[in-house]
Amino acid sequence: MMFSKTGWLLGAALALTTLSPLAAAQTKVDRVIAADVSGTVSITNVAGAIAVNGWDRAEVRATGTLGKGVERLDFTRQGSRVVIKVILKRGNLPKGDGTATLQISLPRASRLEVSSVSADVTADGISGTQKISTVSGDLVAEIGKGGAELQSVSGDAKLRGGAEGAKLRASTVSGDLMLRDGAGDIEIQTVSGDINAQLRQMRSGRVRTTSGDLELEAALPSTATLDVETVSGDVEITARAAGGMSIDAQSFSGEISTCFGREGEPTSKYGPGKRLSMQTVEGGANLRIKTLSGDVSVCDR
Amino acid sequence: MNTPDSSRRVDRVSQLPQDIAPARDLWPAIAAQLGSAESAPAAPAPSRRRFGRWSLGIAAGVALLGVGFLIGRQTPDALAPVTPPMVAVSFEPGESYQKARAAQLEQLPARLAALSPESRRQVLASLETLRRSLDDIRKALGEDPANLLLQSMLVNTYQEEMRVLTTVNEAGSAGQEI
Repeated sequence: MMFSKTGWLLGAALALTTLSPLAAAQTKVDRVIAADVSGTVSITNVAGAIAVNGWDRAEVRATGTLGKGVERLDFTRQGSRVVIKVILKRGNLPKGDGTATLQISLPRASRLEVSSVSADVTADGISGTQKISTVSGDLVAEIGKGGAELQSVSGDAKLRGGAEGAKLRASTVSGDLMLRDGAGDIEIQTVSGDINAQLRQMRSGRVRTTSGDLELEAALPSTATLDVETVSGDVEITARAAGGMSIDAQSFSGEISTCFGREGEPTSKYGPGKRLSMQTVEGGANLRIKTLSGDVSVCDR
Repeated sequence: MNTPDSSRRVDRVSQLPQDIAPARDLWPAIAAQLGSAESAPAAPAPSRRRFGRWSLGIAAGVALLGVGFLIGRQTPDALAPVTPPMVAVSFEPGESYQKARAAQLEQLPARLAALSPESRRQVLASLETLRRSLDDIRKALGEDPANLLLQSMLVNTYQEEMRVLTTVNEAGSAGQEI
C-alpha cells in the first residue's frame, strides 16, 4: 500500500518536534500514517489517556500531548499493522511525567488492540474487533459488530452497543462492569467487581463472579441460554422472555426467589441447600444459576 | 480375724485389712446344690420350658436390637459419636496446579510493586476474597462432600484464582516493560 506523502512529511516534522531537546515540558504530537481499512492498530500507553474513534479514511492519525518523562512516540506501520507506542525515559519518573494524552483516529473496520496501565481508554465508532486491556485505567467503549475482548485489573468498564451476534468477553479483578444497550453473546468474569447489564437482547451469556453482585436485565429469545455462577455475590435477573423460560437455580446457603410465586426449596431435610427448577412456559430460554451463599432473584418484569 | 471398724479413719490403702471373713459360711449350701445338679438325668429332648427360654431370649434380643435402632435414629447429632470419615476426601488441587500456582505466586510481589498503591490494595483484597471463598467452599464440602454444586464451584474458584494471578503478573510485567 502506498503511504501518503503528506502524512510522511507531517509525521516526520512532528517526530522532529517530539524528539527535539528543546521540547517543552509537554510535547504536542500530530502524526498521520496510511493504513489498511481493515488492518490492525495497536496502541500502548502507560499513563494519561487514550481516546480512539473510527472514521472513514484509510489512515491513522495520532494527536495529543506527551509528558516530559516520555522519550518518544513510536508510530510505525508493518504490513497491515500500525503500531503506536509511548516510550518512557529510563529510571524513576516524577509522578505525572510519564503521562501521554492521545487522540487516535483510525479506519472504523480496523481491529483495535489497546494496552494501558493507568491510562483511561475510550473507544467509539469502531466496528472491528476490539481487544483492550488496562490495569487501573477506566474503560468506556462502544462495541461494534466485531465484538470485544476486554480485560482490567481494578479499572471500571462502561460498555455500550453491540450489534446482533456480537461477542463480548470481559474480565476484571475488582473493577465494576456496566453494559448498556448491547446484544449478542456475553462472557463476563470478575472477582469482586459488580456487574450491571441492561441489554436489548441476549443470545447467550456466561457470567461468573466471586463476591461481585450481578444485576441483569435483558430480552431473551427462546433459544437464549444464560449461565450464572457466584460464590457470595447476589444475582438479580429481569428476563423478558416472550417465549417463556426455564429456570434451574441452586444455592448452598442463599435464598432463591421469583416473581412467579415459586421459591427455592430445600434439597435435603437435614442439610443446607436450596433449588428451584421451573418453567414459565414449556421450552423457551434456559437460565442456570449457581451460588454458594448469594441470594438469587429472577423475574420477568 | 480382723473385722472392719467403720468408725476408724483410713488414710492409706495399706491400713485396710488383708481379708474379711463372711458373716456366715456359704459353702455347704453351694456344694449341696452342685451335687444335686450333677446327679440329675440328662434330658432326652428340649423341654417345652427350655424352648420357652430360648424363644424368650431371641425375642428379648430382637426387642433390644429394635430399641437400639430407634435410639440410634433419634440420637441428636451432637450426641452421636464423632468418627473419622471412612474415605478420606481431598479437596486440594493437583500437583501440576500447585506448581503453576507457586510459580505465579513467586512473581507476584515484584509485579504488585509495579502497580499503583490503589490497584495493589484492590488486587490484594480480591485475592483475599478468593482465599476466603475457597475456604468457605471447602468448609461446605466438609459438610456435604458429594455436593456437585460445591465441587464444580471449588474447581471454578481455583481457576479464577489462577486467572487473577496470571492477569496481575502480566499487568505488572506490562507496566515494567513499557
